[in-house]
Amino acid sequence: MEESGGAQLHPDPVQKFKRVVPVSSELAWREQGDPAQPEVGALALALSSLNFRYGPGAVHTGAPPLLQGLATGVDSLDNITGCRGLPKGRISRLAEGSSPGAFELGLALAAVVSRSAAVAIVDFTLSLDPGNVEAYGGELDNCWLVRPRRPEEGWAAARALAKVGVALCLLVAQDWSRLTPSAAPAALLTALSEGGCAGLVLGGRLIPAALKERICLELKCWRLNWALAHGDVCGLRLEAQVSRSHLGAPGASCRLQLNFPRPYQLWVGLGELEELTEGEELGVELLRVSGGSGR
Amino acid sequence: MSRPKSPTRLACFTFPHLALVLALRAHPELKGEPVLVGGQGPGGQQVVVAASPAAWAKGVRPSQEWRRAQVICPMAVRLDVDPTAMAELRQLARLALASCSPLVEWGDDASAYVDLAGSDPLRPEEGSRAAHCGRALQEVLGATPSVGVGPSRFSAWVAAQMAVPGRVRLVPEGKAAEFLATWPVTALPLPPEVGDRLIQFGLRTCGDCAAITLVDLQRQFGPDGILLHRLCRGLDSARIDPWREPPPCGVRRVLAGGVEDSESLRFGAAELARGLAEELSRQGRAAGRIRLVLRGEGGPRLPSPADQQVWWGEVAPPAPLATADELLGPLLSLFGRSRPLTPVTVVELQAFDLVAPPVSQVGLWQGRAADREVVQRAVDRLHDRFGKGLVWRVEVRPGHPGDVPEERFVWSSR
Amino acid sequence: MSAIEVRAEGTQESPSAVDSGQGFVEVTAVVEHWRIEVGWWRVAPERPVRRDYWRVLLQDDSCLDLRFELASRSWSRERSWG
Repeated sequence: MEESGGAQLHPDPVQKFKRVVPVSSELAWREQGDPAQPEVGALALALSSLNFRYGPGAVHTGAPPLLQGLATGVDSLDNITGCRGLPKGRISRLAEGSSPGAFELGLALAAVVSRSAAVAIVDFTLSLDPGNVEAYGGELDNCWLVRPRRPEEGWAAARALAKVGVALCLLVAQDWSRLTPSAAPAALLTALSEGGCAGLVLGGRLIPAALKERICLELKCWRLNWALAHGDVCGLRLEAQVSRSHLGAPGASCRLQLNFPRPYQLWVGLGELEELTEGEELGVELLRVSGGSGR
Repeated sequence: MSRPKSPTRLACFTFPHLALVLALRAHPELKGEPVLVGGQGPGGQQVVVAASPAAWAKGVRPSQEWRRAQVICPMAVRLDVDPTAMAELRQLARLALASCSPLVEWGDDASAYVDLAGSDPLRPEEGSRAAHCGRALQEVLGATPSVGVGPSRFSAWVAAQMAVPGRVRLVPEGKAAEFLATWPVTALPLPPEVGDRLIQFGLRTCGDCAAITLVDLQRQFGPDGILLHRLCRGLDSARIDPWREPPPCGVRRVLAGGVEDSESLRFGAAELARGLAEELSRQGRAAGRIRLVLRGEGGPRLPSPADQQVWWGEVAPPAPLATADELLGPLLSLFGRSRPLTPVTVVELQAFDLVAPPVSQVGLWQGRAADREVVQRAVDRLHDRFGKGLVWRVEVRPGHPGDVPEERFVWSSR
Repeated sequence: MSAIEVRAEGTQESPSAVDSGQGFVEVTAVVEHWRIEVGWWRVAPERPVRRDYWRVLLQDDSCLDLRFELASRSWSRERSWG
């Protein structure tokens, strides 16, 4: 998918929901008479189905309740999500942009969270190397790796671990269309809410509608360039932009640096991308990305 | 004016070992044949739990090592003990005796004591009270007990040994020493070396030992001498450790309409676990064993495996269960195993082997330790449901230099 | 880690192109090369570990770690970066 230059403005989320609510003519007549009173019947049913579909508290009266965020430890990334981190009790997604970067960012986030809390990684690809998490400074002792033999096992494991309160539930797959039973995303959302866990979906170009409409925050990521040092690729510079969000207007972006584990690294893992001065650039070669075609 | 204290009168009931009773119930054709029932001894080795009279006559005794018993009686039929059935039969027998007297002490699955103190307008004589208890026991076991009544445990036990099955042998008050006079010292509940030394001294019966003073017996045998003195005169303990039927601990839910699908029944598991956890908490206990009973319409009160209208299953986890969290996993596995043959209308969750709840200090300094336990329990439930190999932990192999990447990690699924 | 087709050249068997699944992609730069030789004391069926690792940048801007087993002379993809 080609990335356009500016941010796309989406309609106000509450207005968007109102448009999809099936309001009968009778109900509309009743609402006109006393709109402040929530009616028992079709409106209550619609509200409850929306809350079920998009997560508890998606539609509410009055000021929106503050959603807690799972801090990523990188200020610039936390600032663009709308809740100071990955939203707890919700599903987020890292999507590939014009060039790859989302996968590495997802693993780095899992590593960051695992340093202080339990992380569940549901690996539908059955090929994820836990060394990737360890390489970014993650604490393997806090990681629970799920390798499901059937899709329903993976979703059941994700629900169970989310309910008991792991901090982050990372789901990794290459093709979500074949792996997503229709009711699974809704059930996962409920479990995430119960456990106060942040869900993160990684991988795959296209995702089924049942999952897509339950994603609260989508970040599109792409690689800017490699960081080279001492003749080695020592890191990855990437940009992440909010492409869809239930928490605010999309379009905010940030730049991040992901340092790979190398013997000479001062620090490993995800961090702020600091603009280098000309003097500092002498020590680091930047390899420009030229017409990246992605994977 | 205080009422005179009535003398203690204990009844001892001896009967075939419960394991043998069950074995002969299952195989009535083996009556009269040499039969050995085996089980695990205290050290984990295979031992004889019970032996039929024919095997006993060959020299087999309970607690003998299995191999030795096979050598002594090679033609004996060998059967295994059924702990679940034994537990049920034991409970029924205890309840039967408890219906006759409030003070019942259960022995070694081959004997029991009942305190006959008090008055019974229907059975003023102690003999008739003892016979009444014996009949109740006979009805449950299907085997005839021998009954002895005496002023102390040992005298009542000896009387039961001397009694014919179905008869009550009474030791009159004040006549215990005289009754025990001819009992051989080698049959006393003392270490064998004490009996050997008594024989060497020429003391062959309780009567011979009763003539020796307490001081002399103590000088020769130490604390065993004091016990010997009391046993031979019928002055040993007259107290029993009464068994109390534990208060029922369980929850019961009646379903609106029959439910056939065990998957649907699982939805109520959390609520059942919570209810039982509250009950256990109220009693301050933890369950060593839980039983799930599914009843259909018109099912009987007492479940039995042969009953076609109910399903029941038990699980005894390694550690006692006290909280809803701990109960949920085993309960879900019971639901997973359940195969109700008719629509289920009543679901019961019962707790047995109640013990004091275990205490664990969790993560005083490390908050993460508590989280890990909770997550591990969830993982255990997932493994129970889907099999091992679903959730993995990865650790760096100790001492690995890091050269060969695929050898760096150790994977475990537990 | 998975098996992969690689064209190599030179005395050191340096990779020059890698099969990405949609055809061979040229290697634009060899970033790093190292060798592991361990476990010389192992006997059959386990063998000593003798392999070369190559970290390469491809024309499609991907960065791969490739592994070449010296005993079996087979290539596999060890790791993708970014």
